[in-house]
Amino acid sequence: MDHPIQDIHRKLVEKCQSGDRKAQYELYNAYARAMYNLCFRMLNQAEEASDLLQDSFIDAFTRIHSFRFESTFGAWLKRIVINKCINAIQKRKLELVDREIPETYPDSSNEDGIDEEMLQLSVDRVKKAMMQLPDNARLVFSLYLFEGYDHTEIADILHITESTSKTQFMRAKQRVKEILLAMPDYTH
Amino acid sequence: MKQKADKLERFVRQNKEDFDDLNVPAGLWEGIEKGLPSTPAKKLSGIVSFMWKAAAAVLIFASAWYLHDYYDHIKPRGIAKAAIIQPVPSQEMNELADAEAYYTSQINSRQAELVKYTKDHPEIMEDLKKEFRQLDNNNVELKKDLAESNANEKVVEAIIQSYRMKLAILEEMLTEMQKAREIKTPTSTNL
Repeated sequence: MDHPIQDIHRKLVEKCQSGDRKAQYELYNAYARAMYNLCFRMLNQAEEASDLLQDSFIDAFTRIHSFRFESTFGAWLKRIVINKCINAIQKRKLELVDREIPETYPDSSNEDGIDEEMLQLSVDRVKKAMMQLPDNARLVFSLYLFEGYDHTEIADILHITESTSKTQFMRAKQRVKEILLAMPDYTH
Repeated sequence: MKQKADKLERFVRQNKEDFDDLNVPAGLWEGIEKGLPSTPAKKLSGIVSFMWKAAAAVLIFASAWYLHDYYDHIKPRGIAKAAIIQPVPSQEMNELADAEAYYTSQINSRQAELVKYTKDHPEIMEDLKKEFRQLDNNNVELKKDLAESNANEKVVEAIIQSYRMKLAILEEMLTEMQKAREIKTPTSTNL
């Protein structure tokens, strides 16, 4: 906290703070793709991901004067995007209740009983499997595995306990493995 | 305590970039741009700059025209040519004084009005003052010519032209500020 974080985009951010549209466009180009993929992973819905990303950038550029370089701009923007994703998912709450992974699902913090050698992994297969997860499970799975947050941070972001975050992640991971095992084999 | 990463976790971490394979939908930036507030300081600064360039262009043209005639006149090219150049009659000097008084009061009142609009953007007035100082410097040179030589009414016209330019710049800026204010505070018909 004492030392400002080095940010390769510091100059661009400073220009954005004085309302420079060209600098805003450059920052947008630097982060849009990664953030769009993040949104899509969390929401599993292209149109909603696109709308939400648009809102996130508008928010970020409108509030950029309050950015104090205590993190990188990318990390700051990611938190804005994630918070918006969480809000969007919470709006789907009614649907969530029915589709959440049941509490009785085997707790895979122990052995999950799946033979790792049997897992056939490819980017496409893992993506397809993830998209079959219920919203909350996919959220924790994405935050931990793709966005690199630890369980303490996830607990803070989602206002849950650390152990809940761990349990949800393990359940989600096990579900992904099950789906992968049930998928047809590679055809090429 | 961090758990040992299994095959699935390792695969995702090692291929993280390949998972970001979706392209951003077209038109997203345009939507963002529409949603962002306009940047009046920058925009007006640009207008001032543009107006200054326009003013400078007119002044350079007027000065060049004047100097061309002026140097033509001081070269001994014969009585007929010299006779075309008329020194400024005292009546025209009076008119210049009147014009200066008129434009100065107009410029001052517009400037005072503009100060009210730019309270939140003092840099606009700073830019404007800087640009006006350059116009004033040109005027000082013109006035030197007027006082020291047998200058003609073209110098008077160039001086007046610089006042007109200042006034035009101020008018343009005020119009822009008023437009910006209207956009910021639309009438609340749908409340």
